[in-house]
Amino acid sequence: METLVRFGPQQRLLGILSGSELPANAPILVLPSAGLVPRAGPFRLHVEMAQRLAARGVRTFRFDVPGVGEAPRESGCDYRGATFAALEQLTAHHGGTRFVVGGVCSAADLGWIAALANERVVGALMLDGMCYTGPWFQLARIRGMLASPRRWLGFVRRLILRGSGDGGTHTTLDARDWPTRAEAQQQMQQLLMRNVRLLFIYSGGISDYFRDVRQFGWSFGRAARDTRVTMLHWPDCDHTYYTRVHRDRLLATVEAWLGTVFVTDEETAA
Amino acid sequence: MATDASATLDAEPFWAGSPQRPLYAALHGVAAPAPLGIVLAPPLLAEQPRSRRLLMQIAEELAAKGLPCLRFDYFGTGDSAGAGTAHDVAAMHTDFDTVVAALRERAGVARVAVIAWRGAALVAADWSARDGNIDALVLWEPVTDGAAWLAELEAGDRAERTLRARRAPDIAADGQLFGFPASSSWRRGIAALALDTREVRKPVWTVQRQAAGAPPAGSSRCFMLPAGTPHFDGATTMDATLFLSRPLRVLVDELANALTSAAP
Repeated sequence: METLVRFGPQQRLLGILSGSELPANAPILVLPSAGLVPRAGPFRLHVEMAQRLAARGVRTFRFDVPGVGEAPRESGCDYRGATFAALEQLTAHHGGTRFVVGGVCSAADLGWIAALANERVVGALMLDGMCYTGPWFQLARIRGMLASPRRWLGFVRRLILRGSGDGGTHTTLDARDWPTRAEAQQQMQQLLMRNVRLLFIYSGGISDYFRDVRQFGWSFGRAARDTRVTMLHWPDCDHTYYTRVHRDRLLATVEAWLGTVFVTDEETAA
Repeated sequence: MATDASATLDAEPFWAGSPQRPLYAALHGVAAPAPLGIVLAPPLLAEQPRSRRLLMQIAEELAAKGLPCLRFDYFGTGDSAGAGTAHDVAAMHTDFDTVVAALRERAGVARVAVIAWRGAALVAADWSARDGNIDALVLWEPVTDGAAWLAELEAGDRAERTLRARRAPDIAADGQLFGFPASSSWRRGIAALALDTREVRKPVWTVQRQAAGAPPAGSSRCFMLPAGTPHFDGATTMDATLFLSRPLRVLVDELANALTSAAP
């Protein structure tokens, strides 16, 4: 069972809360729309997640951020404001006490921001979330180029374009608003102090900023090795989990991880 | 299924149909009584999410012209209930019955027109020719040959898989097309359809590109899309979103005026 929930400035934003049949205080996975894809998720991932998680006693809330899908652009708040407003609405009117927030790409970024801002957020789902390039990335890139003359030629071409100021060097990162690496390390420590759980999954569709698992330690420092942090690298998957087998793997992994997050959180609360 | 607040929203979202088979729907513009209401039937598979914002903007535009508009997701797609494998031609016929009834009830309109996009136009014409209780049908860039379209989708999907899963070449076909479930029933149903609006027995209009040639047989009026209108199909990248451009808005206004003045 699902419920339509209006929230945000003048109640002009809309989300869908699944699991109406579950206890009023059941935990909630909050899934903001990612990129330009409407709230049902890439290939309806969020709806399938809602259907699976309801059977595990977890509610989900999916919504369009302003300017995406059905959400008006002039709603008086940005993506962050919409996410905060969603959490407020769920807390005030739907018994929300424990949340995990996140999703793919820009939704992962919102999960991180929400976890830092709201103490009811006990986990962040970081699918192709933040990570920083650095020496391991560069090494992996050079190794890849040496293995393929075609890539080597592409690298030379990009260098030439960069030199000519032709704007040929834009990457995914240009559209992301991340803290500095030092800030990110500090923020992860801060989240772990609060016992927040973090699931990072890096796909093969983000080779412009992630190519080697050792980047994760370089990015987040000692905190990256904490048992409350899970990091997986799935180079065979694309950024939006196009194939059924990849999406099923993702759904099963998130479902299992959420089980540990919320069970552990209940034990901590007890 | 329920709605938790009554404050103002640009459209009124609701669940259409029975609690066992709820469809996500949104109704635009019911402030004043209107003689005609419009159901917007979205395109299929990957074209559906890609065009969600465009259809919302078209609904707003038509509603501003005094035509109540209902948008919806088919069962097993978008925000509607159901597994993706439950979505096929027969289910879409049921969906059309459901949303047309919902529009009549909620907007209080006596007459209903359906604007159906691409593959949905093919199915809507078939539904309308059988027993669809509507007063006019507008086909927006209709797919005219279901079997040819299916072959095109399957070829495009193969290319997309090769591109995306190059590191896992052993991934076999998994019952999906462009990332969405397309059951054997869905494929059979689509492949069996060819557009012939002479059987519809209601006014049928077409919105198409200049290059599309003659409108389908039985179409009595044709609106031409402005040059440069983005495509819905594989010519547009998977993650793209279509918006209502200024030239397209002019066409939608023209369509609204024509529906208001010429609908039976």
